Amino acid sequence: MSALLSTIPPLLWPVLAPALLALLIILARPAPNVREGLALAVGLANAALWLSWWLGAPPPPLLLHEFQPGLSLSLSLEPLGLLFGTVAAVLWPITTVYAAGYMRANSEERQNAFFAAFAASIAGAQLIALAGDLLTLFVGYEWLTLATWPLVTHKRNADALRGGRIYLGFLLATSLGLLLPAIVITVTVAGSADFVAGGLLRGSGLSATALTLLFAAYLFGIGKAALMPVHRWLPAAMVAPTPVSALLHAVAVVKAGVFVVLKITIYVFGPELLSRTNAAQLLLWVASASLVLASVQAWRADHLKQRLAYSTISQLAYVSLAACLLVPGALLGGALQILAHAFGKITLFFCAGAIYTAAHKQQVSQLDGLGWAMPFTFGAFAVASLSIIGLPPGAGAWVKWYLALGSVDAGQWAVLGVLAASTMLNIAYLLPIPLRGFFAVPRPASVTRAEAPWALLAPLLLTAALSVAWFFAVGPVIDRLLLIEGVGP
Amino acid sequence: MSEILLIAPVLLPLLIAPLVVMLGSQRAGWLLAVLAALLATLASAALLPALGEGPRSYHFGNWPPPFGIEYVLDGLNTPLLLLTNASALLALIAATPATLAGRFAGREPVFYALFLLCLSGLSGILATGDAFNVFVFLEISSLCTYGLVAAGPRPGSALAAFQYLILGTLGGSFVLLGVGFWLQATGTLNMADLAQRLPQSEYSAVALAGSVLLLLGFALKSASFPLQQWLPAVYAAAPWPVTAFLAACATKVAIYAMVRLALDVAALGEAARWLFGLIALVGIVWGALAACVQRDLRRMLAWSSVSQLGYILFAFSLGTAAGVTAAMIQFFSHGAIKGGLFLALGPARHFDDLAGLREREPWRCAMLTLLTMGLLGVPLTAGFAAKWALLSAAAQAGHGIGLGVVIFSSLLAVVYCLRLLEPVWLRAPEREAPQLPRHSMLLPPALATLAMFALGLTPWAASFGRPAAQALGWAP
Repeated sequence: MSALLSTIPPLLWPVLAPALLALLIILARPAPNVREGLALAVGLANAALWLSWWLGAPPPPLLLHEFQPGLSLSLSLEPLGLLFGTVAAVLWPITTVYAAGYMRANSEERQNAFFAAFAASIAGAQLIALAGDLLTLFVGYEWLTLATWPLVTHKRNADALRGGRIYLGFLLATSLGLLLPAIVITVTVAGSADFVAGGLLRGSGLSATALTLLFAAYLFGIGKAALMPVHRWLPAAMVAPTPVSALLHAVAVVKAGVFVVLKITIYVFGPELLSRTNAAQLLLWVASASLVLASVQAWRADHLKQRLAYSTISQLAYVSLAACLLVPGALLGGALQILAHAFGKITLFFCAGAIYTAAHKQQVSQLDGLGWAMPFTFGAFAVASLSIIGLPPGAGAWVKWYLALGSVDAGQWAVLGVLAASTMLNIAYLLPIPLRGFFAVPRPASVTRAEAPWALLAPLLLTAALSVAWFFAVGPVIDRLLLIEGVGP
Repeated sequence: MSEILLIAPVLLPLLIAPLVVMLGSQRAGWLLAVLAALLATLASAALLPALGEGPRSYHFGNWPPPFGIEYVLDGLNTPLLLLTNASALLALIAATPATLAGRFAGREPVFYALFLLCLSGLSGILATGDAFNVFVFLEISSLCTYGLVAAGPRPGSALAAFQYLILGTLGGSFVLLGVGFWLQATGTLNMADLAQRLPQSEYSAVALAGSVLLLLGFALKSASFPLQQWLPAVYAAAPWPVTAFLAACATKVAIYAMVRLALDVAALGEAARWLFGLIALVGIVWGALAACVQRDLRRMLAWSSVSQLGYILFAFSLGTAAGVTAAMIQFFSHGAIKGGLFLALGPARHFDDLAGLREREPWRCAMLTLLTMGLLGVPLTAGFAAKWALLSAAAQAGHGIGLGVVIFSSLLAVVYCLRLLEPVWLRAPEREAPQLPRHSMLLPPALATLAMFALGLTPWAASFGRPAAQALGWAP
């Protein structure tokens, strides 16, 4: 048995293990404790595997299958994929604990199907992180879309059905309508689907107009990056149970989107080609507009999960913005956003789910004074908000720092203004939530603690702590990212 | 031996059909029909390895062409022979006497005989190198199809079959007239001979009129836009194994005939390719739009077929080797996916029939889901391989409009595929819904699903691209 296991190449494990887990859950229907114990064990092992790749040498690339010469399924590990894959892998077991608590506390139906689809989604996200070429990337991308659909529609009521339609409609339409043609054209022009350091299209001789159109097709075709106007699916996906919103629609799915944006920018076009032809200039303003408009939407939303969803759209636009700035500092900031926003936003969603479970409140306006009953939850919310806003000691501070440096480097002074405006808006829509919780009404004389069960509380405290920890421990991550051609000096 | 092999796929079903009737027993008749289809499938598979050696021909009665009837198997029709026979095999396995549910009151053997004759007719159209033979086999297959459709379970089945008969006969008459005109213009019926003489004919107007009539006839049989109206009615009315069989291969055989006669024999070249491209692209959008608004499950899939068949015609219209490769992949991909979908749907005909399938019949739900993914063109399935090849071929040919149309239709496919997936996955069962008669009925759609993945993961279908392009003279 162990001989058989050792023949499986290490790069395959992060995809294979969750996929097999999903299959096992569907076919064997294990008891809830066994099921969640198994999911946790697989998740922890997977996270350990990813962390080991930070310490040791990266495993060799792997050719899985060749369809025809030049078209293959292949896996390879590079710094950006390492970062995204690790973030998803580390947060998965934490979310498993949270999901186990949440699904039981809210007595949700069809938990077996839920955990199976969850594991299958993770497999898709891991495949995206490890994709060695454009075709494999597309396989993982569509897999993730389809595997998350049962999760979005989990409640099966009219809202869920409608949300599911918008979700699948937007994501499939953008990927089949723009991303796939863009990939086909890229492969036709470049004669290869591989990711190349410095840019696959560098020597292709495409005109500036063609490059602009192709870059736009990628940027809007990657619907998971939720660049306006292809962002509608994300608020619609909020009908899913909160653990899904937390891990998938704040981390795995949307981070897959911006990861692909960065990956395409760096390895398919190459910053040098894009900045020489000015292809990204127009899209810089689209990203800036998306950033500010989504922040305004978030500020106006009263439904807590909707507010967080629009906040996510705005935060994702930071990465698209970084991809369009095309200077090393900005790209570094964009990559760090994958890390910082993941830990910050998952904490916020965890808190939203905890508040719903413990107090059955979903609107921001209902939260007045609730902080005294749930001090840990609201405290974690405040800490994670700092990170999202970009204030030390939140990890998000580094993102804002490098993005600001990058926009100065690129000579885009207006972008600096956009960053300042969005920071103000971030403060305006996030901080009132903990403030309402604690100070909207005078502290009651006798407070009864009504926190959510520990399975919900522990994960959110952990992720809040980690989003602070990354502020201090970001050094090794930056060192690794600087190895990428176009990001490093 | 190998000589006989060339005609075995056509002769086997033709000769076994009367035996099925003579046997008289339902069960034995079914088994014999399955056996005939199996043998024909094996025979056509055995023809594939020698594909690279160029066309092989069989002279009936040892009369040398152009005097005798000649069968020519080349890179274009040999793979389609396998597709047709394999589809028939899967459909026949599903068409047990139990599936037919005693609608024939003991005359089931007639159904199986009709089925085999229809198969023989379709194989004949593919294999023959003689223009008049094409008409003969077209009539054999069409007449049998009318009978098979009329055997459907709906009160309207007979009416649908009758309407199809009117239109089909019209198409058949066009074909007969066309062949007659060609004979008049050249004095020959052999395709190879025609190919040489048609361009030099002194009656070029007659020759052209013949070509146009032939094109019209087969455009009708292949449900190419705007002659597609009969298709949804027929698919909805026929017994479900028959629908699966027709959907998997019948219209594709007619497309083959269009391509063979117009682009190879008559060598109409640029003009015909332009026309093919036009009707294909309009049909692709029209079919997909119509699929989105259908209330009947089978009609929806039938309109989707109109769209998907347009892909094949469009791929041929590019006139490049890459285009032919895309067409060959789409032939097999759509055959496996649409045939498989009808087999997996079984007796279901309304969207409500699928409600709660996930809980009721998980395996059927899994297959329907996977096959729908294939129809959507999700990566790793044959549908993706076909779409990739088609998009690449269009991009290489610089056909921007075609690229856009294919993309647009795949967006519409999202809409109609979602209409199928939603009841399967999300709706609770509302009433008693028809199920597959037996668990063994899961075998045919399972085989189709496996074939879909095999086609998606291997370059098997793409490997026919080059021989097929050579057969059309588009590759060295």
